[in-house]
Amino acid sequence: MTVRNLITALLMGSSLLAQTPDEAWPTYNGDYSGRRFSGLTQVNTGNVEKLALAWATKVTSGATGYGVRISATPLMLEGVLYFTSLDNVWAVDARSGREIWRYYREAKGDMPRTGNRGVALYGKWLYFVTLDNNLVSLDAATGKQRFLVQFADPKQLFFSTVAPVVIRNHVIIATGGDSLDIPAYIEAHDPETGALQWKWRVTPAKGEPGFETWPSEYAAASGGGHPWISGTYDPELNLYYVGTGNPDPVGAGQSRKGDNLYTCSIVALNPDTGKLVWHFQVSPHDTHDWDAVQTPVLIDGVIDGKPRKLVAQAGRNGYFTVLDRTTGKNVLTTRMLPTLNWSKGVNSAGQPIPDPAKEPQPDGTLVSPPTSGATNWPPPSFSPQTGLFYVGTNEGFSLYYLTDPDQQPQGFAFREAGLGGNKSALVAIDYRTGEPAWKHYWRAPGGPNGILTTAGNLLFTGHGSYLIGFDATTGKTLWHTTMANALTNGPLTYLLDGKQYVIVGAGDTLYAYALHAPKPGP
Amino acid sequence: MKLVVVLLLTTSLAAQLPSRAAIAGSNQDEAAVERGSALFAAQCATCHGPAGRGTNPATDLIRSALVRREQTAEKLATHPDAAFTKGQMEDLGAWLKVLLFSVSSKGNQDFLNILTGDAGKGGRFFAANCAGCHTLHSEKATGDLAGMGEKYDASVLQSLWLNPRRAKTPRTVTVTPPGITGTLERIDEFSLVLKDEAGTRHTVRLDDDTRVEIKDPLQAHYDFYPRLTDADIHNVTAFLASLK
Repeated sequence: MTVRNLITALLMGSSLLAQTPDEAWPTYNGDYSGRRFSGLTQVNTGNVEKLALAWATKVTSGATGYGVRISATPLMLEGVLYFTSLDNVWAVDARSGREIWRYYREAKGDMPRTGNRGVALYGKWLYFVTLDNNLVSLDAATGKQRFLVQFADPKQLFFSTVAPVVIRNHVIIATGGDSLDIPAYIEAHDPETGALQWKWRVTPAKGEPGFETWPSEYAAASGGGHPWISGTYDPELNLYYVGTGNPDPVGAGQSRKGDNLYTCSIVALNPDTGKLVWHFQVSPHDTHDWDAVQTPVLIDGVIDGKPRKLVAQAGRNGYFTVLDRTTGKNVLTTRMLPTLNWSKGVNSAGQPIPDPAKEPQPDGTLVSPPTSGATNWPPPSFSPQTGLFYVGTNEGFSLYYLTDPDQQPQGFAFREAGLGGNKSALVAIDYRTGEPAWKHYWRAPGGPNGILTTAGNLLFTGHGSYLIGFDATTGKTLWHTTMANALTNGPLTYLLDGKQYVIVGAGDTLYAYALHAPKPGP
Repeated sequence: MKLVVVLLLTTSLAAQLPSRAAIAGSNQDEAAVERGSALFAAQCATCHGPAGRGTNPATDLIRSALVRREQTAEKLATHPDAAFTKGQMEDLGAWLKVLLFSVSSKGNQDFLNILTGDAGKGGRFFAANCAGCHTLHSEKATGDLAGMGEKYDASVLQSLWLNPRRAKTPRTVTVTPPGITGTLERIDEFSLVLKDEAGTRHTVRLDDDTRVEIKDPLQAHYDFYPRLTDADIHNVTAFLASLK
């Protein structure tokens, strides 16, 4: 697929599921599907041992008080990589890593200094959100600011980190920040002016469907649910799929009895109107800080011999869920985490049934997984070639303590005490059964980390300060290299001048790998 | 200090009041906080609740967009029922910031009562499951638990017996090939460092086929987790807390 076609496809919203990004990486997930699968085969299981460092670029922040952590997935278009960290955006040459420009703007406010997942592209313009909740558009060629529009109040402790998603002429963004019981929302903005097009509130108002899952307007309006990771899109169905965050107050359910829709859910929105088309709640009435923002990955699969349009999520709550993405009906729900102990099983709709005894208790309750989850935001991957969904998991336990027994608890109402003996794994799940086809337990715990798969039948991910290439079918380790830091983003790949690059961010440095090809002698 | 006394008295009654950690973490002037909290308790708490959460949604200050936006108490000048001096408004502003920080910052909340277990049952659990490795005398031997209850606060104690500190309990490793055994000092996906009996350090490269057998004295603790009930945990904690 040519770059020009790709941009056109992006703007027109035509099907990208059948194709993969090869000569570009134009969105957060590479394409709209969230699979993070590339059709490139130049680097493959037969030659990955020759993969070597092509270049590395250490970037510096415009600020002096804190360092750079690249948690963004860079976008690559026409030979330029675009990526962010807190307060910074960079354009670097995709062939050499040389910096072309840097944009810097310091976020104001008391919110935690956290990461930023990156930019979106629309024509010649870039879009990103600032920690203090502005949608900013830059000229991709120069890094010059075109507009800045505030979409949430930082003084309410909203803070924003999501990589925007562009669908036709909609720039879709969402709020973050679950510390002060603030209501979450997703918005679409005009790419030319930044003007608001629509707003979808995660927690419903009185009279709206879903409101019956809250005891009061007060509880629903303070219910949180921030969808802080980019969603995915099916152009044929014209549905935008996104995972929502945990309800507020965090870790205490006594003031919000009920399921607390649409928190901890996979929701399908019409990107033109912001209207909810269907929802599936993966964690009813969460009290463990397990948001459900993990990427809803689109799979065109076959179940019981029938072709199906599916969406799959490996959840922070420890469950693996596959839905029909046309209707939102459950296809399967399996226990991804063997140690999971917080539910009484799965109901007929495919949802976990929370065990009230495992909600945070004043004297502590032992729960698996810990609040950081069975997995977390680092992007998973799905290879249509192997039919396997790849995700990093953590098997561990924590003590969960209720600290706020008030009938109206607020903010963080619990504390966690992490325990030992955690086991981490790279897991390859068969989407048709929800069961692992293989599982690679790491020798030391850590992660999860972002994952990329390719048609060369390779899987790239990190562990410790290693970048590692696996055989995607068997899980055999084929190649590894050492970086100065641990992987901090989702890897990407592209073909440029006939050469396939694999790009990863680790701390403040972007690394590029390509096949080592010694120049022939005279 | 008066403030501390007030807080110690009230935390047991109303846990939603800010902990000492939250007061310290909020970076407000201590004297202003003390004056502001006293003024708040005397003149505001009847309607706005002891921690500013209100007695109904309309009087909740913590979830009030106005309070958060202003981050000061200057708007109090327009309050229908209150007349404050500028200094008092500043003191109340400092206290409001403490209240906001207290609910919005992770890990600054006080634990409630953790010692709810039955020490007798905990003792029987200990005898049946723990006594193989642990003694209760004062022999200063590894694994001896005498005096545990005096040394640690209950919240620390409960975590500690479930997940003891690594430093005192080295892991033994056998790695094949090359087939050497020693104390494990470091391990990652592709290498490990061990110290053999002679005190020599070895760095060994690992691949998918390398066999690494680790003997971890703490593994017995981790293996317990899936089998423990919360009652077991609280009972054992109560038992250990009684060892004085």
